[in-house]
Amino acid sequence: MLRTVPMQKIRIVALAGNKYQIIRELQQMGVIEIKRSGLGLEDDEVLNQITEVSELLVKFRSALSFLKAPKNKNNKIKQVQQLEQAELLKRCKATKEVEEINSLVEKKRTLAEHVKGLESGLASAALFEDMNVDFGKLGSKGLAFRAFIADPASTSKLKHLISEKRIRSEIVESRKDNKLVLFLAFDASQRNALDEIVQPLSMEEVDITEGNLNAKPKDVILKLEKEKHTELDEIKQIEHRLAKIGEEHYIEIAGLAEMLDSEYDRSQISSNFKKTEHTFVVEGWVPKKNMQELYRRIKNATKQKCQMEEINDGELAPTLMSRPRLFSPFDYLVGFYSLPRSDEIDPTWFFILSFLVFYGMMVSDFGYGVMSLIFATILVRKFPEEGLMNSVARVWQLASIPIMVFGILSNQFFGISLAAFKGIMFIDWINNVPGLLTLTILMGITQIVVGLAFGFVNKYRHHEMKLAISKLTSIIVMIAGTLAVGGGLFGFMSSNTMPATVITIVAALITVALSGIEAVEFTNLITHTLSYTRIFGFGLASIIIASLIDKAFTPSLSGGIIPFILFAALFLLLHMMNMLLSIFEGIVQAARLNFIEFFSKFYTGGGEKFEPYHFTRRYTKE
Amino acid sequence: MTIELAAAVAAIGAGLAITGGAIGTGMVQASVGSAGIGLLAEKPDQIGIAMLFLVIPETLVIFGFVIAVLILLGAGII
Repeated sequence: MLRTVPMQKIRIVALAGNKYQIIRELQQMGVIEIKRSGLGLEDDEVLNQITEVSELLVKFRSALSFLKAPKNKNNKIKQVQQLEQAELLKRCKATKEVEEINSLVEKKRTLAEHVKGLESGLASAALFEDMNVDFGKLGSKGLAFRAFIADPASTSKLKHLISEKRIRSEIVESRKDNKLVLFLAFDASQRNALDEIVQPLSMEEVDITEGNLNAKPKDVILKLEKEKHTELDEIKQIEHRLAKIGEEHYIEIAGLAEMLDSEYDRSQISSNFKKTEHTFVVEGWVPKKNMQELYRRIKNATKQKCQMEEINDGELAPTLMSRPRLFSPFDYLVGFYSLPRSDEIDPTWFFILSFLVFYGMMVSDFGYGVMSLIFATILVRKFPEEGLMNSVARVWQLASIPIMVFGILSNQFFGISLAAFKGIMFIDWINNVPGLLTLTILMGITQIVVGLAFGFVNKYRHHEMKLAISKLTSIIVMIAGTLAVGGGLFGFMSSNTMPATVITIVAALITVALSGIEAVEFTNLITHTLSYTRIFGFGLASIIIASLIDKAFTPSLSGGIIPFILFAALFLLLHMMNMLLSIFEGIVQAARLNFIEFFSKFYTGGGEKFEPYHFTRRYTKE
Repeated sequence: MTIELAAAVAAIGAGLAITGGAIGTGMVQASVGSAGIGLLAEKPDQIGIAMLFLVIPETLVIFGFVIAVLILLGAGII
């Protein structure tokens, strides 16, 4: 319960001829995190068929990216059986639709580029639409032609400079969509002189050498429009055909792509192995509970021709945490701080318990609990299962239950105390300040003592005996110190505080002698304990704000309908704000008490997450 | 309504305790918060650590609160 899943490092040695069978078993079971072996052997290579598989995979993935997945209302897919490799390759090569999709896409791309060219030709031709120029007949040895879009000032400057430099030329002007278009015929031998004039002027040159401008502009426009429509129709037909292929073959193509992906995955994983002439070696971490089954399966797959052995080389195992689905988001929350190392206590169960109690106490209102449950459930449904928001919403959903429980125990229903529940009211936030303050301090002392006990176990496991004993003496300091101070101030347990005081001093001296760090921590034992009074502080603040809202804004029909609506809206809005404030602060503070005050007594963290070799399937099964 | 001098002084003392804690927390959180936002701009995955450091100084106001409650309890106001 307080440990991560026990792991064992193993080594599998088998004949090279059985490599594929073993990889398949490892992938199917998904229980081994493969590590490169430290043995002084040659590195293994990827499997031979990887080139063929990867070429097919690229084609299938490419084809799939151009298809739309058919709509599936139930999100249920009938998974197909993974084919044997030879059969899969044969089947993939025989799937003509993939070739068809890729060639259709290529054709569509060519057509789209051509349409773009036609549109540019149309735009150019449209500029000269009003000029009676036949571009098809411009070919002449002595004459050259250029066209520009210019403003009136540049045009008159151009004309002036042409006449000044005595360039033999003819200019035709036309206006098109507020643009002045100039068509210039000039003596080809004066090309350089014209360049010198044109360059400093801010005029946009129009490319009239473009292939489409080969007749009168109006004829060019008609011809290009017709061509464009034909090609757009063709593109539509291609899209229609792609949609039809998608409808009929998407699942089949996606299934084959997934099988190829799985084969590719198997082919390349062997680059993490070591090899000799006839054998290969795989090493990795496996949960101890799965070792027997793994050995049985690889023995069956290789007809007993393999060997599996345990390795104990002192390497730290990766961390795997296992919890029922309901509580799994808390693993995420603990991992958010730092994942526990596999050789230390996993405090997540204790974290869950204390987080829920602290959070429930801090919010402590049945109405807020119900609202939390509703909002959290909506968020859980809205956000994808693997994301941060979903995990936080699931924590919130679960935490709404202690909010309701503590709400009933403290008789708070949207800040209102109900007379009917007075009898079961165990927590009186307003009238029992000393009691609740003491209760939260005692909760803190309990959690810190548990933290120190966990610290003792961790140090003992690591054979750091001095530190382990100093954790024990710190526990004694905490308990005896509490009795001494509590007895002195409030007279509980006994008014004679001498024995407790002596024990505290002796335990403190032993701690100082054993560990300087632990001695420095004494001040933290006091400040961390007092820090737990925030549970009382936030709980009281939330309840007082709620009761103030009730006193000031409870709607009443006696003043008329408009004040009633106004007060009702304010009442809801302010309660909503108080609820959000309590909920946010509650999560942050409950997490903080665990991470800082509790974890600092024992937690090292920094564990490496267990990442087994496996393949996630959606369309196929094995 | 008549208030005893001792009670009035105790109430002022409790107010000062909370005020001091709150100002201290605010000053520290201003620095930690802006540094945290800087951290998040570079490394958004560090939000947990940023949030944690942000709430650490709240202990100051909690201490102020505890002292205020103890003063009020001692003076018999609550």
